[in-house]
Amino acid sequence: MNQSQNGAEAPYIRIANISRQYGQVRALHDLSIDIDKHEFIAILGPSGSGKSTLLRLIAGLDRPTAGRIFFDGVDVTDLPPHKRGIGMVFQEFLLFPHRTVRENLAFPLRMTNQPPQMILERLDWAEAILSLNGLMDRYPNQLSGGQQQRVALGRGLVTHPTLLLLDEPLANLDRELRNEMEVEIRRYQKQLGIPFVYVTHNQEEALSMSDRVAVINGGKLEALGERQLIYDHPPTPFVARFVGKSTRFDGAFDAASKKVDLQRYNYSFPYEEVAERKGNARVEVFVKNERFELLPSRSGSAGIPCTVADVVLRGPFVEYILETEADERIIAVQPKREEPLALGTKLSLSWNPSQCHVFPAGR
Amino acid sequence: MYAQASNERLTKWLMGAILVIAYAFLYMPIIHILFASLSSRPNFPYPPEFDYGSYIRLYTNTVYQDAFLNSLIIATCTSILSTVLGFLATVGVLRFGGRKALLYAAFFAGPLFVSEILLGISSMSLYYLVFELQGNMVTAIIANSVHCFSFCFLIMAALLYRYDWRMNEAAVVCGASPARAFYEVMLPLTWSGILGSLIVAFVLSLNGLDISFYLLGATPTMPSVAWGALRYGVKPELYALSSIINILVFAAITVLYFVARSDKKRPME
Repeated sequence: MNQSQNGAEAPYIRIANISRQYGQVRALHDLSIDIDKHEFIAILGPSGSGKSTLLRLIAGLDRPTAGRIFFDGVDVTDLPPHKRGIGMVFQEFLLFPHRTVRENLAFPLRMTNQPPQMILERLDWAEAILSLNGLMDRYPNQLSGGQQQRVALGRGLVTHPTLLLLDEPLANLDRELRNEMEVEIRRYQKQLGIPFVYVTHNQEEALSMSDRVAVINGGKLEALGERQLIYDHPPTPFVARFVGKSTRFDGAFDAASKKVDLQRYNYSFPYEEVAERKGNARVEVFVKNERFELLPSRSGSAGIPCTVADVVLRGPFVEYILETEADERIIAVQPKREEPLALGTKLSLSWNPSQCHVFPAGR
Repeated sequence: MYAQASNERLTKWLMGAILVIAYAFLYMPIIHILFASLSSRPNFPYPPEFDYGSYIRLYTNTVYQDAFLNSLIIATCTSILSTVLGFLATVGVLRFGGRKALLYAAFFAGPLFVSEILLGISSMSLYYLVFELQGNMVTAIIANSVHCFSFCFLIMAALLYRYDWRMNEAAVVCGASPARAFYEVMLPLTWSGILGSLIVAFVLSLNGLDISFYLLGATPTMPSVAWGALRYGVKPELYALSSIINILVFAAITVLYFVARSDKKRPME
């Protein structure tokens, strides 16, 4: 790929003010992301948020209505996909059914006119790195889902592309395989040192693999940042709701006493930061399910009174399904203890004010 | 146990018999013509007395040869033209048809229901009135293509319906130009449908009498010569000719069969 002409300052991949409109529908609106050379970036959003459109625009399978895309300082917005030097992995794998694994892997090398010696070397490399030994002469429909996934990854990676685009590549795999592949995919990215752009609606995948997460909603960039930051300090109510598992409460902020009062519960906690409005302002409060503090219920305790309605064991964690007096169900996640709390136990639910997120309501 | 086994054997035997009857029903006329063409007594060839005279007379008869050549040209051109158009229509309907795909498809299949005679007469007058085209081979090919197009469209639409268009995208992001994506990926995955369409269009236009008849006038084609010959009594050359055509058609079907089988031979699961 061409050397950057703007010096080291220019980002490796630059997506600048991209918009895509289909008739009256705005699929993407004025979206900008810069991606570094060694970065694993996850594009996270609900279905219909425009995240797949963004990936298709980067791949060149679709053209933006406005905005430019740069690879390594070169404007590729008007280049067709086959001249962009990218790799792409699809949710449905889309391996060529009439070709063996070897031919599938060699396909991008042949299309880019690599010398035969190079093709052989890269095939060996892919066979080794993806542990495809003994599968090279099989047809795709003779492979398991996980094996097909690895071949699809290999087909995306053999040319050592400028970047690899992944469109929900694990959505069709079962849970166990998915966890295994998450680790694998991250390992390939570190080994190759090329950017991976990973589109998913699954926040666990986004958080487990990526360096940075871009959250997209309604065609707009909601948040972009280090995964830990996005998780711990969601900048918008949408991100708070979508990343991690949280419970939402309606409340009111009292500017005089600097306290948030919950509407349906006799519970309040001190809060400093809601500065947008004066007087009593309605707010939304989000608490991550694993950040609830559960204490035995005592008369006069400050928390939300509730009873244990069900207990779900999740290996190292326990989910307590709690019923409140307002007939709401709240899930609290706790590390597994020797003796989980019994059904019907009365508890008092509270949280550390610095660990929850408060946003002005009605946005 | 025993009763059941013999029941099964009976069922099997009965089904075999029905199959034989069905085939006999389909093929007796064709085999009769083959016999008649090879016999010295074409009007009642049983028991057969083999004689190749009719084939030799056919070989020396230039009218039949011209007709055969004309039919071959019409059939070849028609099958290619209608398959190309049908393929484009299929791509358009399946890929860009959206919610109205079925409506578009219905109108593409519509000409199937227009009778061949009407199509022949109307094409003849239309081409003459509007374009001042005399009936000739070109107009015959065009009119035949109108008829065959719908068949080609239906055959290819049925096959390409299951084709995943994202395969082309997968090829293109691998670095293949759109043309190479077509040759390397789409064509190998859909060629049995395309070949089926070619063969059906070829057979239809080779044997079709009405359309060619109205558009060609005096230019002989196989079906028109055969039809004309009937008026002066059936000659054994006609039997020989029919047999040759039938054998050609069977050759085409055999090719289709092996194509379909080689497609299936690819391991499933």
